Amino acid sequence: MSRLLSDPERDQLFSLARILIPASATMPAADEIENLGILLGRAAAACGYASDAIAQALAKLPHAISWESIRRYAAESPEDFAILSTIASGAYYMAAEVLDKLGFPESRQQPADMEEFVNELESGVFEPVIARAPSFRTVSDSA
Amino acid sequence: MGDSTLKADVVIIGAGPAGAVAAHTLASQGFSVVCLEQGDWANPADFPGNRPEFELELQQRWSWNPNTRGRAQDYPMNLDSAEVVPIMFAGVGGSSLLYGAMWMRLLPSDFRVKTLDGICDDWPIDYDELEPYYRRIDAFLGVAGMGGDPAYPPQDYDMPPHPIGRSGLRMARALNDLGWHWWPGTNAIPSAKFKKMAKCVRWGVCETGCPAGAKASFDLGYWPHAIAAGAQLITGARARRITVDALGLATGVEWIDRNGTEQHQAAATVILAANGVGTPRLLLLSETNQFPNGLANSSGLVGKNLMLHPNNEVLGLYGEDLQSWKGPAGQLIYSMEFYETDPSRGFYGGSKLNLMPVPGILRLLENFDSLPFEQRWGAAIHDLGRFAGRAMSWAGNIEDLPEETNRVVLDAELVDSDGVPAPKIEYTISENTQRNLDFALDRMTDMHRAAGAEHIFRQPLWKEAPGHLLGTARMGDNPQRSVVDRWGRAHDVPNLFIVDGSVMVTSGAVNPTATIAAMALRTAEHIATTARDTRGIS
Repeated sequence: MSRLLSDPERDQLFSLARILIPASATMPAADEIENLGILLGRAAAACGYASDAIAQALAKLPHAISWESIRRYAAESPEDFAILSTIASGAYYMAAEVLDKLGFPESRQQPADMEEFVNELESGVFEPVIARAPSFRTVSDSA
Repeated sequence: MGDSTLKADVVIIGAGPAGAVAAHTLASQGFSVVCLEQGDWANPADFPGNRPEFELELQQRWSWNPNTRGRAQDYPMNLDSAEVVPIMFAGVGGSSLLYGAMWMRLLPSDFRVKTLDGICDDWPIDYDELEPYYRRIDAFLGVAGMGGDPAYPPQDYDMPPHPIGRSGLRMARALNDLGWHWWPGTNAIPSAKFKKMAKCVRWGVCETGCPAGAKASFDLGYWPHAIAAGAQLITGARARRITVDALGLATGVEWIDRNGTEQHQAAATVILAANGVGTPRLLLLSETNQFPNGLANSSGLVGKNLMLHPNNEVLGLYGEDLQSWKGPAGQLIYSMEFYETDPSRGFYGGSKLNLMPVPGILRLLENFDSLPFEQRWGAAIHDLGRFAGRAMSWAGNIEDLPEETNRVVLDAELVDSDGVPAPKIEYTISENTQRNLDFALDRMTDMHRAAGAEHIFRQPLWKEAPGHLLGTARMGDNPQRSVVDRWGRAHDVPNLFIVDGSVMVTSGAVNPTATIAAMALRTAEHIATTARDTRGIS
């Protein structure tokens, strides 16, 4: 089972996230996320990968983390990279400020109003399919 | 072995949909019912879907694949020879805890494949015989849908359907332009509070457990009522074999409790509701000198004809904000345009296609994993991430034809956490099914193109889906060609019944839980009405 990250492991993942997810004109960089360290810990605990698998992937991570060294790591150790990049990007997209920038609700809980389906029904989009003739086969259709 | 408990009228193995319906039906009619369930109750608060890290939890802990989850309650499977993984979940409610609650009936033609298409076998019953049971289950569970679908004989629902949302509307217009069938999704997900279930709040994570308790998984939809009617449910109870007497009648079930102690539940009637893998596993485990090839297996068909409904998917990314996190998932709309056999397509059978939301960002980004590193990471990730909320997914549920070479057998070495031999799955996608898969993939692509998708991703096969486990103890009138009769009664063992998807003769192409539940209701009522013929039931 996954376990809590040590501080050095968290630092390694932080450095990886900084390389994988830089800032854009509209989106923050991973290392600009206020609580990224906490989110990385939650992500590592949630992913369910075996503790040994995470430790092994981190052990292979280059000491000098750069775009080029991570690109090589991804090519040479794709399974290890998949684990760590999932944790890094998973933590990033857990951040409230990232979801907000994407227009993605932090809470997706949105019960429907009773009128919502009625409005769709009255939009006219259902009319062609309601007007279709029955299409199911019966035994009388056998040759 | 522990002391035998009091003899019950009925012992049921498995507390999934079929076991729940059978338990409620028989307990309501005054029978003493004991149900043995190897898993536990699930708490909706345990499901990950309302937590920010929910997609990460799906990687392992809440994986659909029991081998990946690795819980003691689930049994492992040898999948070395399986092109599709038969996913399942052990617990009260069974795999319905993780199902999408897409609530579809078989069509009349599904019961008459031999008559209409000249292949496979007809069922010993037909649509009209099952229709009243479908209707009663729908009403009991509060199925939400809109009647009048021209792909079906007349049907209607008490609960209004869910909105189809921006995704559904956009795709519906595209299908109208193509002249293809679609219909708003029918889901066993209440659109208003109903009995023990809350109103759907559209988390969009139905297939990983509803965190709001707003899905008709059978722990909510049926078990509270079965227990109120007097059924006794024992969790942490792993059935090990069905016991028989010298006359060849079932006498009960040998099972292992949480402490590893063997117990025996005596009963006048045994009902298997352990799904299309667990049921043949138990029948094969129940071999004796009297039944050397496994119980109820004089036909040699126990475990054979496994049908899994291979699924595929086409994901579309759009420029418009589709609010694609909004559930239910569940199906927003479905299409039966390609359901019925059309010889011009070059294969038998068809597919049911369902449009689903895409509530997670990681799932969206996974589609780009094959891109070169520099197009996937760095600045590129934001170009890809902008499609969050702008995706919709067509999934194809593909009819699988019965093949005796697709089967469940006992593994020679692998055992579960109680040391009971585990199943081995031998399953190959047939040429007919592959053609069906390919055809459905192309049509779902056409749908996204017609709807104006900016990017389209084709997934030719979901290896770990959909958990439709069918056909391994088929029903029929001929004991040489079937395991159970038209009522689910084993030809070889008159007080042994099977009520899960094992009994299905052909698979159709729809999600099978509605049919399994209707069949379980029909069988349970038959058991009740014919109780005098069955030894011991008063």
